[in-house]
Parts: sequence; structure tokens; C-alpha cells
Amino acid sequence: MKGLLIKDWKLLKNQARFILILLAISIVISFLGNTNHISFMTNYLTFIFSIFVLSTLSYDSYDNGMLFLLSLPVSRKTYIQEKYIFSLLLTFSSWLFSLLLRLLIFSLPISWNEISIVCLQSLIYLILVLSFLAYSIPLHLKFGSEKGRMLSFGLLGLLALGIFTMVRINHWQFLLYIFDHISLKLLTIISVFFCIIFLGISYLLSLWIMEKKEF
Amino acid sequence: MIRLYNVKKQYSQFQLHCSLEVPQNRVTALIGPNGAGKSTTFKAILGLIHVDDGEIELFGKPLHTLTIQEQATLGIALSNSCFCGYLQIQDIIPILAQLYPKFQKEYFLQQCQHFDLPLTKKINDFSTGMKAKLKVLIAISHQARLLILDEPTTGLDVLAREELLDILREYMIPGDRSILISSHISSDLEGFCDDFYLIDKGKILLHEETNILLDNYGILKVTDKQYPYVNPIYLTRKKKEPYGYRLLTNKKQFYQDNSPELIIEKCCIDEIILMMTKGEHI
Repeated sequence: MKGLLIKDWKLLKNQARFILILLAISIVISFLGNTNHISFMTNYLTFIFSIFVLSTLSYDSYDNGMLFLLSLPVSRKTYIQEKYIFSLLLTFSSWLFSLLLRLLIFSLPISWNEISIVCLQSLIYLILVLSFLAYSIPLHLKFGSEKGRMLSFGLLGLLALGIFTMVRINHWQFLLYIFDHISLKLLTIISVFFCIIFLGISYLLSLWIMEKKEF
Repeated sequence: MIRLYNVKKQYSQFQLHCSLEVPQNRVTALIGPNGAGKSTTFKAILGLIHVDDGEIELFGKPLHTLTIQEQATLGIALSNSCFCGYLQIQDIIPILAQLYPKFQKEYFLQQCQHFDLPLTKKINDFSTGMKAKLKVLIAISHQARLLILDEPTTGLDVLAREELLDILREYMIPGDRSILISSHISSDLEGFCDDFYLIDKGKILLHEETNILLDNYGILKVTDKQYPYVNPIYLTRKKKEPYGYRLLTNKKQFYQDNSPELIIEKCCIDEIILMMTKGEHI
């Protein structure tokens, strides 16, 4: 497990230049833009790091790499466990970094109430990113990097289209009604709960795909 | 060390049906033409494919019961697969140190230096030969009890091949280790392996000791007129040639003693592969 985590960390380190450029762009845009820009750019950072998890899956399968990885003393289960642990570690740390960047650099001075709202909004964003990973990882494992990526983003596009359509045909009112009657805290707790369930199902599905897979 | 008994794997246009054994302190070669089933056999031994039937044992235990610690005593080099090409050797050292409790970092670094493998260059930028050397070094740097090497010398020049084979000979010195190897370069195998399995179309056609194969097997070159009078008792394959027939025998001495008029040549592995796969059964 630790060996695989080191491998993914080393792969991430090789992307250091890309990551630094991304950070620089985020910071510059955040300085130049308004509050919405700041919020978008910091959240965007978390999303980019989550995509890197999917890139490690591509790297692993690049040039028949999975053959070699699974011939090492690594079980298929350990491989999947490592991917989810790496996903959580990377996504959470990039989210925390983004949140601190947003709070410490761009939103001072700020009241405690505003801080808690920003944190909860950010937490919901983290849940969305983790949910994206939860359905993307099994897709990548099942269909390979190219098809998996297309399906992941295709599904994301469909989701966005679905939400847009709901707004257009006025069903959005129903969701607004729910939001009006549920506090942000309760919404966050429910979201965290469903995200954990979603990640659990995703892990089991990935494990099943991996056990069935031939190389 | 390795035992495959009636292992079957069905693909749409290919079926593997294979039994083989690699005892302790032996170097066993798996030879055969492209697409014969060598890599599929290696994949089956490593659990990378799910076999339909048969038994696979490593270290006397069914494959699926091997612990991670036991798996760490295997050294693997696969023909077309290695660590991700975006990594460098200096990146993979800590990975190997974590995965293999007996990883010999100093030895590995020493051998990298010996084979001119740069530590800070992406594996993607390595030549085919450099990649081949790296794969074998990874396999032998953690005191494995068993090496499984699929085409380990591909892409190496003659000097590098000999150096690599010397390292593998050195690896065998303790006496409790084994190697299963496949290679297209038969001269490497003739001077290195104890026995051979010849596989074609997923089936083992021949299993023989190297010294028996090189000493006893031979090729008879006969004309069309001579052919009907050749005693077929020790002939196994025939192949039509412009001058008549090329015949494979497993008792060269018999024909040297009884038919001195025939042209009888020593047999090499390439000849055996050719005759066993392309020749007609007698």
C-alpha cells in the first residue's frame, strides 16, 4: 500500500511545474477578480487535483503498466484501496489548501458567521468533487482511460444539462423550497452522509471490476 | 517452485492448455513462436488472467493462497511492461524498498551504475535495451526465490545479453532458487537453461533437458530417393525441402551408427522450434 502511495506521489511530483502554474493562475485571477471569481478559482483547484487522481489511473495503465503493477507484491484489493485513500488524501488536502487560500488571503476581514458559511459552501463543493471521483474511478477501471474520461465528463455534462433543464421548466422552485426549509448545516450533514454512501458503493464496484478484470 | 497442471484458458481464437513444472535449483525455458502462448502462460502463473480450469501452484501452494510476503519472493520481468514511463529510477527506489522487505538498494544502485542506467532520466526516454536491463535489475534486487522472466534479453546487444546472463547465473549460485524464462534468442537459452518446454498454439509440444536436446537431437537431410529407406523409429517430424526432406530425430547416434551415408547435423533450439511447429508429424 505504502509503495503504491509513494508511486502516485512521485507521479504527482513530476507534475509539479503544471501544478505551480495552475496555482499562480488561480492566485492572479483571484486577486484581479471579484468574490465570485475567488470562490470559483479556489474550488477549481480542488477539482483539478481530483482529476489528477484519474490521471494516475491513466499512468498506471499506460504501456501495459497494470500488468507490471499487479505482478509486484500488490493484491488487486490493495491497489483499489490505495486509489481511494490517495483520492481522499489528495482531494481533502487540496480542498483544505483552497479553503485556507480563500479565507486567509482573499476574504479578510471576515466575521465568524461568514467564515462558517464559506466553510460549509466549500464543504459541499468538496462533496461534489468526491462524488465526481466516486463515479469516475469505476468508469476508468472498467472502460480504460480514454473512454473512462469521456464517460466521466459526459456524465458531468448530462448532470449540468439536467439541472439547466430543471431550471428552464421551473422545477427549480421545488429545490428552492427544500433549500428554504433546510438549513445549510443540515444540508451539509445530509450531503456528507450520501457522499460516504456513494464512495462506499463506488469502492465496492471498483473492487468488483478489478477482481473480474484480466490483463 | 512452479507447477501448472492442465491449465486451460479459452479465448475466441486461441486456447491455452498447458502443464509444466519448474523444480528448485533449475532454469527452465519456455520457447515457441510468436503467439504460441508463452505470455499467456506467464500471465496465468502470475494470476493476471483467470484460468478456466486446472491447477497453478507456486512454492507448493495454490496460487490464490499466496500471501503478499510470499509474492515478495518472486522476481518478475515482463516483456512489454514496466513502471510508468514518467517515473525515474530514483523515483522507483523508495517504491521497491516499500514493496520488497529484502530490497537491496546498494546492489541495485551498483548494477544501475554498471549498466549505465541514469537515475534521473524518465524511463520513457530509455532505449529498449536500457528498459530491458532495468526490468531484470528490478527482478533480481530483492533476493527473490523464483524469477519469472518473459523475454528479458529483447533489445540487448550481445555484450549486454552476456552480462545479464552472467548476473542471472550468479543469482542461481545459492542453489535454492529457480528461473522460468522465455526468450527469442535461442543461443542465450542453450548456454543457460537446464530444460525446455516448447509451446505452440497453446499446447506443450516438447519437454526436454538441454543437454539431451543438444546431444541426442539431430537433423537428417535426405533426398527424395533416400527418404523411403530411412528407418522412422526415432524420427519425430519431417519437413519438405527443395532437396528432399529435413527430418528431426531424438536419437542422432542411431542414424550415425546405422546410416552413415546420410547427412546428419547437430540440432539447435531454433531448428527444434521450426521442425516441431512447421514440420509434419511422423
